Amino acid sequence: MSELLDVFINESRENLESASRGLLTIQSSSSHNGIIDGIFRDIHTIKGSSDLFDIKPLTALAHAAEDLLDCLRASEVVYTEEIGDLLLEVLDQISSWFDELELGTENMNEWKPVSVKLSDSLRAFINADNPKVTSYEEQPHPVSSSSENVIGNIASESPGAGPFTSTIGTFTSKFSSSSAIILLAKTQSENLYLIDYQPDHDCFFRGEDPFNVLITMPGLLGFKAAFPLLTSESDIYESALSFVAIGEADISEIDSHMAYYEGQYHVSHISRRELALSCAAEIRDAVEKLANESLLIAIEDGELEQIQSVAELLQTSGNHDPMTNAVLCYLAKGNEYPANSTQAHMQGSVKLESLQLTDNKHVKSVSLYEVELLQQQRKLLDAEYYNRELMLPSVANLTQQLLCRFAIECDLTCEESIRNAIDRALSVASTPLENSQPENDSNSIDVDSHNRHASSNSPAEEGAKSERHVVKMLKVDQEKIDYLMDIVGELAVAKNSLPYLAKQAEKEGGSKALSKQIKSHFSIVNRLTESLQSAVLQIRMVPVSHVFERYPRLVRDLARKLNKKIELVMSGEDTEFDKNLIESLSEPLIHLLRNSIDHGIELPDLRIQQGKAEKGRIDLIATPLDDSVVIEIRDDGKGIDPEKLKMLAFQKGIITEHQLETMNDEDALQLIFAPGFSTNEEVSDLSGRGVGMDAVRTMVNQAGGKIEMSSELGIGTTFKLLLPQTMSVNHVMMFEVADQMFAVSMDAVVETVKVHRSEIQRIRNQNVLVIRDKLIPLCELRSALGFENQEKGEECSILIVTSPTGEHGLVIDKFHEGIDVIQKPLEGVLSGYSHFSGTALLGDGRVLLIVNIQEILACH
Amino acid sequence: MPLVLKKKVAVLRGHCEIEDAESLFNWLQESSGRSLNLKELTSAHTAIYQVILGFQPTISIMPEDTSLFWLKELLTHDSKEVWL
Amino acid sequence: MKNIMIVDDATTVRMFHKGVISSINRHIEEAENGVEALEKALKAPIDLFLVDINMPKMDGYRLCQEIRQRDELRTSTVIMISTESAKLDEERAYRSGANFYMSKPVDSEQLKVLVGAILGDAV
Repeated sequence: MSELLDVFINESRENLESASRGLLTIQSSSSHNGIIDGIFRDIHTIKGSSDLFDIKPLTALAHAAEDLLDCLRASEVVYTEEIGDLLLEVLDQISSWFDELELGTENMNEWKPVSVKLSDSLRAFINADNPKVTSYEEQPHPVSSSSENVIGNIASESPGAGPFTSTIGTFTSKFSSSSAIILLAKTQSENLYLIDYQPDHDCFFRGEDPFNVLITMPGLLGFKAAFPLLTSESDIYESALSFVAIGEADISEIDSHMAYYEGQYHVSHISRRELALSCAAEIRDAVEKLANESLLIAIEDGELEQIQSVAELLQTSGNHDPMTNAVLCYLAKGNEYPANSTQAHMQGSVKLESLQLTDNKHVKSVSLYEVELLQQQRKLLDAEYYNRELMLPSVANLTQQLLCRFAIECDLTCEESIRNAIDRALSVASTPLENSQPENDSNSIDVDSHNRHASSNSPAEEGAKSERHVVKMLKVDQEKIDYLMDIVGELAVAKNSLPYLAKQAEKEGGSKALSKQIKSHFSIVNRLTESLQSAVLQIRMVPVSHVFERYPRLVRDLARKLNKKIELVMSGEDTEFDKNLIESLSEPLIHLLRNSIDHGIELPDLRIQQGKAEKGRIDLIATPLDDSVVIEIRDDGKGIDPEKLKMLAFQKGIITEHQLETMNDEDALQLIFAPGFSTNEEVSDLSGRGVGMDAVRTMVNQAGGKIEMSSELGIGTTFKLLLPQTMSVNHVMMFEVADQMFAVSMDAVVETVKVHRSEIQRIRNQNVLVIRDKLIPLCELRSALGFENQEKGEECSILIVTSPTGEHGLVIDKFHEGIDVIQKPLEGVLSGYSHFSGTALLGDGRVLLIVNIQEILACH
Repeated sequence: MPLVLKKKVAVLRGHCEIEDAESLFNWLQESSGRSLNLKELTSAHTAIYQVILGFQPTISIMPEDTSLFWLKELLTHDSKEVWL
Repeated sequence: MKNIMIVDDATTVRMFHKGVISSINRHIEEAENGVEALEKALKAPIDLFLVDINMPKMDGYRLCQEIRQRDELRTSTVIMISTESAKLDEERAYRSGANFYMSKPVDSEQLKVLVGAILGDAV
């Protein structure tokens, strides 16, 4: 949850900044309206997001500020410097509260009185200017108050704010009653705007030319102009004009066109459909009044073409009043005659109960909820404002999906059948579903359904089918899955004893037949267990986007702190990962990203100098590969200098002078993974703990993965991580050292040998063994693992393994068999031990430590 | 000359700028019954339009230019509502 | 795999809603405003939209209308989420083409169950 809080604080700080800037701008310029709107939006966002957390005093304060800003932008309250100062004070207060939240030192009891005091001061401005009381207990949101001033005062309407009725109302009040119909006849477009343009009195002196601005308005369809009659006293250089215009264009186009005239206009969107609905009644009245037989018949028959041609004819023939003319023109253009069922009352008290969930907060079983969804969609079909064209596809689709679970099929292409289908479903649902009578089901299903197969399903099957369909989902506790995983793991280990037992049965029991049977059963059990394992593992897979999605913000913040410009491009976020392992992946990635940003990508100026794009780019790509995931972090920064690396390694005593001279570039680059290595002398506060690449590699290895690096000086650096996707089943070879059980990955095992002590030779301070002309260096695991040295026996058991540095021999005490285990990465205190790559649980409860060959060898 | 003021008729031609508004206004006030010939008017500054619309003088000839269709509408009808 | 698009101009809110409804079989896209939402929506079929009403560039109502105008999105389910609890906004939401309307602050449990029921994939 604190991650959400971080995002909230970061985002809100940006909002605060933007609001502050806005307030400061207002204080230095005169035109306010667009800016106030922006500030309103910022505060509104903060209020909305803060509501997700338990920080009520902050939300309340933001609410008060929002209310005041709303009045300011609706011009109900006049902006003064006093108000500006108060708002700035409020922003500061909220900012310091964010500080406290970040540190975890917030105290609601201290916040409350401060919030109340500031809120009161804010609201005082609202009440002073406007006798309407807006105490925030009563009104959920005072935006609706602006609708009171609709007639005669075109309400300011930024998209989304305020009830839509004001736009249509405004339109019809400013234009004549037939204007809506004329407009509908003129255009089929949905993209209509209404603009109210009131040039300032002194606009001529600013070189503005309002009429021409109006005439050139994008998509202009019509306008109404108000101009005063002039008298001898009139000042003709004063603009006394005002316009209301309507047209067809994107609001953004209008804003562009009116860019220089901010504050002198308001523009809003008009919905064609709403307009059509609003004059439905008038259209019907006009047609009735006309009382033309042919037209009425055509309408009754619903013949669109007929209506069109009759209307055209009537238009040309007679003298009609403007309204009738408009209606005829409207119909002549092929517009739909508004039938009664789609009639909507603008101020109608349309009732659609919002989705009723029970009062108790308990989650209902999904099947009951589905019933309610059907009910709600059914009501939607009947609602007065239901628009078939608009809603049918989605309602049909949703209904179909929901009905599947009731095992009801039907043709859903027309409204009627949807209604019927839902009704049927609801009646089925009213009987408790678990005990549903199969006969009822089959009866109700057969009635007028088109697609139903004529099947010979017995009633019992029917009942079972509908039951199965309904109870499809389960909510499962994560702990239960983990428990399941553990048991499956043990099962995997336990089954492994079977081959051994089979052998015993043959040897001691003398029964070959029995042995064979056991073996064949073993393969069945084996197969089943493997399936079970992978099925359970699949349940826990989540896409890497869970981890990736924090990164863009991280990159942006870090880049900004360093004054660098960096773009993070991610792909393959869908790639899935085991839920438990996913965090093990996050840490190394963050370190690598930080390194790229800190040391890799150059400052913008430097990049331009080098002919690179100003903006650095980091690619983060996840690709599945068999049952692993390859994650690539690629940057186009300055790359890593092998020479510099060698020098530093030498200085730190990591390599010898000889190596300094002779080491090639490729190997030099790999030095970056050497322990105790850090290429930046200054402690960069971004990379925090100054984590070096060796730590990253350790983390990756711990997780059972591998990491590679390649780099080209001046071009960039790429890191490739290969990580196992799931806590997969590993085949490991067990062995004993000092009475403890260990194991290594079976992949690494080349062979096992038992040799006489005398065969071990000593070359240059190291024990080696010669096998078939190969020289195998040996490693005494006893001492490597920190056990006391014991008297060496005559015989030595040696496990020959491969590693990136060639073949090695591990001297152990006793060999044991190979088994399948589910390897868990080390957690907690143990995770620092790089010698081990994980643990596994044995059937008898013992813990098996799985040795990380590379690490063990590296230390000795 | 975009604005030519004669004894009984003012002729507006081409584009008329804001400076002409004052002369036009004064000229109209000097004597009643004066009319405007807008036949060859193609465009004008708002101030000019404001004078024409606000003073409501007699228009002897309407503008022929199609881009001034709206002006014609406003001058001929009462409604002040123009559909393009 | 079900595709969901969350549209809201506040990052925090998007993240919150995403956290509530995210699950293995759901791919969740985000957009800050209607314009971005449409751009992204046209790239892959969206089963469910969660749309906030108050957004810059293109508000929720308008986005809803735009969604209903496009063939590939006509059958999508739209849940409109709003800070306003005014009745008129609810009506307007339905008029614009929303299937469901919820007002903020959204009850996480309700949202989870609603989405689960709509998509039919509750875990």
